Amino acid sequence: MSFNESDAPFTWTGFSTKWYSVLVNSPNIMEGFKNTLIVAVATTIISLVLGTLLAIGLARYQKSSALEAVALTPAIFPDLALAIGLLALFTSLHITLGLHSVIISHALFCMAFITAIVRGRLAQIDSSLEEAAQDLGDSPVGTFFRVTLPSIKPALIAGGLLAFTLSLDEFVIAFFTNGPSTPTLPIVIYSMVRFGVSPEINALATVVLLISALIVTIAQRNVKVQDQI
Amino acid sequence: MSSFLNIAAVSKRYGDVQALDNVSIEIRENEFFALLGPSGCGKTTLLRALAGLESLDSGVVTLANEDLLSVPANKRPVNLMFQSYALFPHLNVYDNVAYGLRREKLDKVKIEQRVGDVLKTVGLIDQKDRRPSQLSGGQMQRVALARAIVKRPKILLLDEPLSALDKKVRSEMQLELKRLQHEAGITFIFVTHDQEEAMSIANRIALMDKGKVVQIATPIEMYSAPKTKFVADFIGTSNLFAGALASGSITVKGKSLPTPATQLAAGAKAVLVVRPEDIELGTNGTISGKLVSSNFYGGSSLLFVDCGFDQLVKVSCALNQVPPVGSVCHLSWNPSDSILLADA
Repeated sequence: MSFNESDAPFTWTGFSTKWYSVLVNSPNIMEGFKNTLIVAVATTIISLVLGTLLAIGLARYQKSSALEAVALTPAIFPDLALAIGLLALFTSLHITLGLHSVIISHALFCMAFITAIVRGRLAQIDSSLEEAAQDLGDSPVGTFFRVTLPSIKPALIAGGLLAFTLSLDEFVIAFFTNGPSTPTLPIVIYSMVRFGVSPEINALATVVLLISALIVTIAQRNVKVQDQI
Repeated sequence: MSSFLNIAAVSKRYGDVQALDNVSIEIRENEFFALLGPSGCGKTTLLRALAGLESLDSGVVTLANEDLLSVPANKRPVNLMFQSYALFPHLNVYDNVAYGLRREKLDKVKIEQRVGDVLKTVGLIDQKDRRPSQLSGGQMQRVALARAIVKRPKILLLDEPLSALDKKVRSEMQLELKRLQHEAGITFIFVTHDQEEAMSIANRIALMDKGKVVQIATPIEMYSAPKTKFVADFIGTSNLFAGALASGSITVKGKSLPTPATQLAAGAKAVLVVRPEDIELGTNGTISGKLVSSNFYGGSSLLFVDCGFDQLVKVSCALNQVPPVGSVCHLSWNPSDSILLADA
């Protein structure tokens, strides 16, 4: 559909890539795209760091099933409830809305996914590996970077890419917690669709789909390669 | 020789379980020392405490007269070879072995030389670029050993080092461990539940039960002069006859058996220990009974004779003298070869 020459999105008149150039030349869309990338990258980094630390804490230091359940709630909580709750929180704390509030919100629910994935990996690896590193004279910090981190690397890659794609096309939470001046791509698309489906939306959807598919493929491959070692 | 590693009155409790109960052991330099006992006797806890991976509730441990327990695990001149080997899966054989030396910040040439030397000693220099997952069980075991001894620790701790290997590889590795210990001149402390293994490679053994040390002795002493019934039963094969002591004999299930000279008072409850190889088959004996079965063990056979006791009497017998199953056997032994122990 995105390669259709026609202005009407549902009738085929010939092959064209003109909607892609419309896309690139539309300041609204490019702005939304940029905002989305900022949010996705920042979310990935923040949720990776916090999620991994949480998973290690749960696996090695504080073995509490109640805490573990709480850590996973953002992943199973309905988006809408989370979004309204976060909006209420930001307002009561007088935090201005903008990309930063979207990043905090996205990091919160992506962190739950990363914690779950990393926790699973940690349960598989032999905890005597870390003891062996210490026994061989490594400090606790050195042990973390030289032994723990390499062992959970596949989980970090998988979790990071998952967080990235989740954040990339997340609409509900972004819609509630964003400020008016910095729309993310899903919000831009939503506001365009309200006035009818235009062909450049088809093109945009294709681009987003390709990016997501590419990332998922990379994630799959990486996990496979790592598992062979 | 004076003691090198001095473990004095250490205790450790996990909830309801007393893992170590007032354990004291002195270990000499260059000794091949075995901590032996059934599973759950506290031997692994003690080993992990020496490595610094477990804390103790009370007690003192000194190594060459210096306190060991206040030193963190990564600074102790002690290395542990893990039961699971704990090889780093993301590193190859060379990097696994070099791990400890790199933490000492030695220069590259020196590391290369020491790792190369130790890999040659364990015969794995050709496998140095392989990952642990590409190695056999015996090879992984040798990498784990190389990784621990390359640090030149004062003491090498081995946690059931041979339990994951099959019988043939195990006896080869027992020889190799002995050779390495001799060459490296390192004190080895090794944990095992296999009494045969402990007897065949250790200089001295500490036998543990329920968190307590029962006896510390050389393998020969432990076999020929067990201190308690538990030791006699755990070490080697033996016949235990429990009964009431009379003068010069013990009454077991109505039968009177001769005893060696003893300090125990008549009337006391006692156990008479007779090793299968000390029992002779003859035309008339102290006890007699029907042969129930015979197990063939290469050079000799072990006969099981029903003499009316709670357990079958075990008798070791040369191959060409095994009587047919079902026939009556007359058993006798020299009382001075048997051991009499108080029965708690």
